[in-house]
Amino acid sequence: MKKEIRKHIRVNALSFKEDTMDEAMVSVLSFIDKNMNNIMIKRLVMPICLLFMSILPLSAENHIFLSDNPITLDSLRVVLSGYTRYKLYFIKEKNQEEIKVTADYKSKNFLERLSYELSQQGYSLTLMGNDIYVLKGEALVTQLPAGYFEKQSCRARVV
Amino acid sequence: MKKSVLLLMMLMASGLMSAQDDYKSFMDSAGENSALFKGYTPVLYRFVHTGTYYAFEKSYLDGDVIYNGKRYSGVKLNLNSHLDELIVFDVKSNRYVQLNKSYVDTFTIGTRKFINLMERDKSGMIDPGYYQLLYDNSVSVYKKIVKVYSETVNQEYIASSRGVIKKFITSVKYYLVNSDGTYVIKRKKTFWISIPK
Repeated sequence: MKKEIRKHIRVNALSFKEDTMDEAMVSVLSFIDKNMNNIMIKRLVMPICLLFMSILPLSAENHIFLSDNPITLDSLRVVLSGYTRYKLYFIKEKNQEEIKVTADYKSKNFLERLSYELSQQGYSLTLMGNDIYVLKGEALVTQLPAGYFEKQSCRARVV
Repeated sequence: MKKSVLLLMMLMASGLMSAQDDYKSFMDSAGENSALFKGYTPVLYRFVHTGTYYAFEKSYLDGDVIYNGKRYSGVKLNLNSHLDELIVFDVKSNRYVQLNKSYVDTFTIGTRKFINLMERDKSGMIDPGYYQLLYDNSVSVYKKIVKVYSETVNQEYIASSRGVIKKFITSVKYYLVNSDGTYVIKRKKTFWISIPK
């Protein structure tokens, strides 16, 4: 604190000589009160922040521990957006809470396992880049059939 | 004999009437400040002196005073720091009045704030009297200005009336009051000690 006060005195060129003593004292005391308020706020906020910081890893670990416990699609969306590069998209429907899938995003065969679990419940998984689309029934076709353009050009020539 | 008694009675009656007229004219001019302007005439310094016995300027500045629980605004005030007396100037009647210290609470002279400490503080370091309130937040800082009267012999005019030089010397003390106690601030070092860690 005294270091900051010294800096305040230096920056504001305060002098404690007889004729400028009043001004200097008032300036320093105002500075102290202002900073004391900030310190008080910091002292109040810091424990709260520390508490939150201590809770956050625990909550993250809770998701990891869910590896063996299936979670809803909505929960999976939160987990994936928070801890992986994947983003999960799905259409919200009634009774969607009943769909339960793996949360073990750390495992190597996570996508395969997720796709299998969804297919067992009548849903499909489509991966496009880092985006995962979950749809009821058939999955999205993301690639055209092989030689699609060649067939198109042949037809055009025949015509 | 009868004539002399009658003359005496007439004189007394006229005296009473003139006193009543004076009072009426005073009340008319003083208006709502009449309670403030009732008091002693301040001490007149009828000698040549160097410096001033007032705390700051010689001129009377506009200020507010809480006197006997009532606020009087826009009155001309000045502080005699030699006798530690607050003086109010009645512009209408051109009179100076020394306020009764036991009724003065707080007052301002220009932009400066003052407080009347009625009793000695807990530490026993601050005497009762008028103090400038420099700062009042987590700590309070009081400034006491005392004008000390001094006489010195002038060697050049020692045989004449100008042989004695009369002057008022300014003495300033600062008191910082915080939760730890009271500190007398004389210079930067003592102020530094009084600052909380």
